[in-house]
Amino acid sequence: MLNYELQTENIDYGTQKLSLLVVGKGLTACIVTSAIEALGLCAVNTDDITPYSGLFHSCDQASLQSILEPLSKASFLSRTSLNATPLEIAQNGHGFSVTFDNGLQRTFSCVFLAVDTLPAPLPEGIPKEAKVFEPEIKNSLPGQSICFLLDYKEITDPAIGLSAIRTALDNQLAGGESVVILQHTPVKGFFGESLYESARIAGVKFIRFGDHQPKILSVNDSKDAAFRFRIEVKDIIQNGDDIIVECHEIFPAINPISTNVPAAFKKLLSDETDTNGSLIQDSVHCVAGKSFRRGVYCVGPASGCVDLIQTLNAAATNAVDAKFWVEQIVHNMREDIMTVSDQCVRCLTCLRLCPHMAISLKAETSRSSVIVSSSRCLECGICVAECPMTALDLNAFSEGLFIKLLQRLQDEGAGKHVVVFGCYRSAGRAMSVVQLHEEAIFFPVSCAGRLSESILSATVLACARGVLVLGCHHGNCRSNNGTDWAKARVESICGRLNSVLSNSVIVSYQTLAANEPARMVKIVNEFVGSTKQTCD
Amino acid sequence: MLRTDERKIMIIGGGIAGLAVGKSLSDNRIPFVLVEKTDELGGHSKSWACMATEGCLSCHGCLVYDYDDEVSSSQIGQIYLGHELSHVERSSKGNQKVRIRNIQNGDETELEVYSIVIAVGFDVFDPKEKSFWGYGRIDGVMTLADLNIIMRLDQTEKLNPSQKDSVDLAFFQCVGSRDKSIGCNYCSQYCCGAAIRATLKLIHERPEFHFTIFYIDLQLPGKTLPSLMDEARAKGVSFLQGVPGEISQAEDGKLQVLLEVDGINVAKEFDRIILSVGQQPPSSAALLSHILGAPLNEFGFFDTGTLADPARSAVGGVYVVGSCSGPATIEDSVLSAGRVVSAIIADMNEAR
Ligand SMILES: Cc1cc2nc3c(=O)[nH]c(=O)nc-3n(C[C@H](O)[C@H](O)[C@H](O)COP(=O)(O)OP(=O)(O)OC[C@H]3O[C@@H](n4cnc5c(N)ncnc54)[C@H](O)[C@@H]3O)c2cc1C
Ligand code: SF4
Ligand code: SF4
Ligand code: SF4
Repeated sequence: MLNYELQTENIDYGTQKLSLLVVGKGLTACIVTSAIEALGLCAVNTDDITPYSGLFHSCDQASLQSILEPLSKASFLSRTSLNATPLEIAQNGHGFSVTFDNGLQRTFSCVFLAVDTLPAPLPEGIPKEAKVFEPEIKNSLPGQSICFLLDYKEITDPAIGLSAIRTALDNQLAGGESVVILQHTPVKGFFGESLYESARIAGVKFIRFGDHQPKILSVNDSKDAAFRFRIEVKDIIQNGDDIIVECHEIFPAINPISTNVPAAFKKLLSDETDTNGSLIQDSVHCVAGKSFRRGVYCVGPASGCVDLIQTLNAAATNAVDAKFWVEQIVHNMREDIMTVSDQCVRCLTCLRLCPHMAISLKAETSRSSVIVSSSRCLECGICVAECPMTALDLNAFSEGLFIKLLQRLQDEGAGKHVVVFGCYRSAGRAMSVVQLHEEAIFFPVSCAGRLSESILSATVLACARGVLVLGCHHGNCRSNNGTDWAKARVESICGRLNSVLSNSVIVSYQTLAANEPARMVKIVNEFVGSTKQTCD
Repeated sequence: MLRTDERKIMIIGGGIAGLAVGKSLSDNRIPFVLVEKTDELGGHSKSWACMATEGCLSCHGCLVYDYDDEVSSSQIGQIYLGHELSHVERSSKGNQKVRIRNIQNGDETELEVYSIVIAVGFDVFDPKEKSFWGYGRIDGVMTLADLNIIMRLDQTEKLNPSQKDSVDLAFFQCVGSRDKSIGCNYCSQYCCGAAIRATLKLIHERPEFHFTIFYIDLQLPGKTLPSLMDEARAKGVSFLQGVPGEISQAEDGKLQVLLEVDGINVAKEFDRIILSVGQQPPSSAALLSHILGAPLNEFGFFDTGTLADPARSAVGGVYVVGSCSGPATIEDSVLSAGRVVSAIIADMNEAR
């Protein structure tokens, strides 16, 4: 619960401790810096910034100019930077303590990763004389021809494709000749179709290939050195005719793969990389480059987004979220989420396991204590479930509620019910529109990660006929891996129960989303049915 | 001078875009009034099905429930369901007087708001507009929206009523998008991804389903969609470039289409055809545009001037968010909401 009584007008965002660190030196860093400052917050840059292109321009010239102009102003660029690379980023109170390679150490309220991409290497099959397409290339000389190759072996991101088509158009208008070879015309928003039209009208030649990849050869016989490349391609618009294109330059538009992410960030977000190696997960909660670590943001190519317009939006969205976070730090706005009892022996299991860096150790000479930051905690309950001393408890989903449940099961007698534990944000919401089987008791938890083995086995021992755990789908757990923890615990408990109790009680794990009420009913009915079979 | 807490923002439309604006305003303790014409928050995304297979496929369909909860429980937001905007008295300084009307009984409520966010979303294209697709006329032709509803109700067995061992289904992409003849010469953004995810989900549940996706160009932005396409290919989905001809029904009920393969016409048969319908400007756009003075673009969506500043309409103090300014995915809508809130905060700071 938030405290809304605050007046934020008199917060001095300029104080060192409240400033936001922006890591990066190119266009993405410029965009992030300006988004932060637009909200009256204070950005500190690791490096001097210049708006060189590291993002692809899916927009028209006029828009591009109006985006780049304020970012190129001397007054904006002449800000002083730290001129240092972060080596170590650690949680500190509510903010982050950052150690730099020049020995400097400073505290920041947030850290923004805004590094630009490195061009990808040329794919195999393309002569090494070719150059990977970058957002800004020089126009060719009149009479010279440039070929832009999209979708070679791998579908090109529409933002990169549009940027290439725009460059082709510029080149054509400047007196050169442009050929675009592609499989899929990129058509983002209203701009895509009109760009394609204008390029065609201006004389840019489009060739579309189907399942046969074009062949690119470098021409180095000195007789006809005018053209440096020859491309053999089957044009599916021309009935699959073989076409030969000769050109002076060829720019394959390739999706960037590697980003120059500082090692300190890789460490900070270690388990938050996606299937492509970009920082920030494929989780739906990482929309816009928000990470699972509160106060850590990732914008632009390092988060897998190479589009200029989308990056502007992501920077603004994250900056607004960061403002919220900074104000939370100032006012310590959230009510306590968790209680730490004096049973704690400071084994630091919780500190190690917390996926959100919400737990820290307050070192004191007499008796150090474990502190939970309510601003950072997402109530996944992983720590609560794994604490060997059961010293932790979530205030909103307390142990006391479980005890009541167990009491009820015992009172009603053996084998009457199955218990369905479900995450409140998936199963809990689906529950609000359905009626479950009368033999099923639904018990919402803050996250499936809260369900410890001891809770599960206590429920079994309290005479439940079966226990069904409904976690969120992998990749949609709000606390990232709570649902995976639940799965592992159910598997382990099944193993143990099978050896002790023969097969009479079933413990099972399934996943669900909030928009699957019908499926939830089916899963529960099937589960209730299966527990009946084993009982008979 | 008005204090922050005296400057209320009015959000018109409670779809994912309007909700995301509300959440973000609430986080930043800027009070808001949300006016939604239907009786429920959430907009279109509340009707879509979950596409998760082994794991979540990032369709973002369930996100709307999180935003709905945050907005509904906000202590500084007022929500008016079943209401629409009826009148605005603009003033260049301070608050504007607005009236909203209860659609049921016509009662009007007067409010004072500082600025207005248009979040009225889109309308789903109705393929009856072109008889060519046979929608509503031929059994077995449905839209992606219809398919979502079947999947959400967990009734995919309806897609194979006679319980055959093998069922052929086809997706037609760009239905009501990228079509000059009906004034929709734009891409609807969401449908290539949505079709691919739907094939993966359905194959996961019903291995007897076989899919063909007919497309003009595949639009796969971002980091997850290209790998999902590869996965769909690996699971046997065939991707065919081209717009098939008219759909007809054979005696046995099969759906027939003619298509050109390597210059030769061939007929193909399917059990079901799913039309990936596009996003159209919202029906309420014209009236709202009139009340607020915010212009529409050539397609009928709210005009935001340049791509460089997609948050502000041409009228001061009126912002535009989500799919009412052009086709958008849920992720796009959420991102544009952050942009709008950032613009609102910046404009408020400037006015101070
Ligand atoms: C079949 C289909 C499947 C889709 N699947 C996906 C998907 O898997 N992933 C994805 O990212 N996107 C998907 N989309 C796109 C997604 O639905 C949109 O991106 C999203 O709904 C846009 O949100 P919105 O808030 O802008 O608009 P909407 O969802 O349309 O919400 C607008 C809201 O405003 C209200 N409103 C309208 N007029 C007024 C008025 N005058 N006064 C007050 N209130 C008003 C409406 O009642 C509605 O609640 C799909 C779209 C379709 C058609
Ligand atoms: S896991 Fe439990 S005992 Fe160990 S430090 Fe954390 S709260 Fe204390
Ligand atoms: S597939 Fe879509 S609805 Fe299902 S969990 Fe993932 S984002 Fe949510
Ligand atoms: S997203 Fe794909 S199907 Fe939808 S309009 Fe664009 S190109 Fe057509």
